[in-house]
Amino acid sequence: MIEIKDVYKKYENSSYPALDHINLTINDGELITVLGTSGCGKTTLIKAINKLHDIDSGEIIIDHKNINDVDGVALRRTIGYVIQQVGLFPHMTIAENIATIPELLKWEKDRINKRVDELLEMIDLPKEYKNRYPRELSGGQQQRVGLVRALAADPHIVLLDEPFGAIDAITREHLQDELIRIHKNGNKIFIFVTHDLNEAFKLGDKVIIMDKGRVEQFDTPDHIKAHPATPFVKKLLGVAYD
Amino acid sequence: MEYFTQYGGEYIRLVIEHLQISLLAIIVSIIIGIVLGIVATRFNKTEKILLFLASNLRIIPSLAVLIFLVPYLGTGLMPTLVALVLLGIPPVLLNTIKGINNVPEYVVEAALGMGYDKRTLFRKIVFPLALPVIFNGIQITTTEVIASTTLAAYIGAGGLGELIMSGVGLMRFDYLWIGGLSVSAISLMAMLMLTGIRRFLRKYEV
Repeated sequence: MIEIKDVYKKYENSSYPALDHINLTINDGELITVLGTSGCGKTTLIKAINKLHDIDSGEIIIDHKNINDVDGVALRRTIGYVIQQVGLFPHMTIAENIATIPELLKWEKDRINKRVDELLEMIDLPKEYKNRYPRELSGGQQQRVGLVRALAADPHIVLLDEPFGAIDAITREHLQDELIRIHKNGNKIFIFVTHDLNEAFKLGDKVIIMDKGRVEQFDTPDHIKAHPATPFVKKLLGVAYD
Repeated sequence: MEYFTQYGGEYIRLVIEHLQISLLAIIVSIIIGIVLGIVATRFNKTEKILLFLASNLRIIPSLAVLIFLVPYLGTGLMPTLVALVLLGIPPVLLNTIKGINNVPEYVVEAALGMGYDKRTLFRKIVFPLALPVIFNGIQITTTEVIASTTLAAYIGAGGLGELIMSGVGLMRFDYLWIGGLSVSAISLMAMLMLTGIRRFLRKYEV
């Protein structure tokens, strides 16, 4: 469970806070999407959760522990993190990439190898790909590897920052379906940032709509469509559904 | 050709001296260049100062540096090494800085987000990815130092420069040819060796 309590963060040179008194609770097993335009704070929010950014005030409590009291590096090894450009390490094979966090956690070799095979199966990638290098894979394949790389140590929480932003529409749909399938198979919290309304509503059990550092609405897609909470949300829906 | 039969032993001595001086200067340049380069990327101000110094140091002719050092360091090996190292550091230094800065930010971000600590991040991700560019700097330094070691002869430190100087002094073109070609040959072989090593670095190219 993630509790975000009155979190505030402002950068010196900006006219509005990046995170303006955010209050939310995310429960185990939920796939939450965070929707908003550039600069609304959605990326800052997830980076605050894994302490890549620190916050000016407020608390973030993960599984009843305030992350302030936890070492950042140790925390990040327990939270999956996927970014838009994927960031697969070009000098490592696919297997070595996937094994990154297990290696950092000093798992035994056998356990790591087994896990890598499991994960390749999860994304339908043949075993020969184990020793290939990222540049030999297509964009969609790279992104899928990026996803399982984040899942390697079986984290309870996975943060995804516009992971499918650079993918073509057809592949993106397949990846979305795959993500839903992978999420259904466990009790993990996925927090998925996107600027695409359709993606947000398709994937999210609940959607956080943000604008200028504030949460405009946080509810299920159906409720949001039926009862938009603010003019901003109304406008957002109007643009998509007219 | 008669040169070799007459002065064979002498020739080998000169070649070995040349190799020794070059190798020493190259290794020291590489170590200092890489260390300073790494330090530079950590501190903005230091980076700017070092970049400025490095770019300008290359412009000063090594011979001038050499002669300038003689009153302070005497003749022989010391001033030669200093002059050669001053020549050899900039390519490695500049390329270390460039190599490290060229590692894509998103790769670093992904690594940090996964829980790499700064030390392991540098050792396992940043440095390996910077290596191809750093190695290019090493190649440049190697060529320049091997060629410039001919200067060592000017202050009596030995090396194939002696052969070239004798050639000039005695108007013996065969000395000049042999001296010059030998230096080029050494340079070429060094380059071939380095290119061979480079092959192993292929996988680090982004």
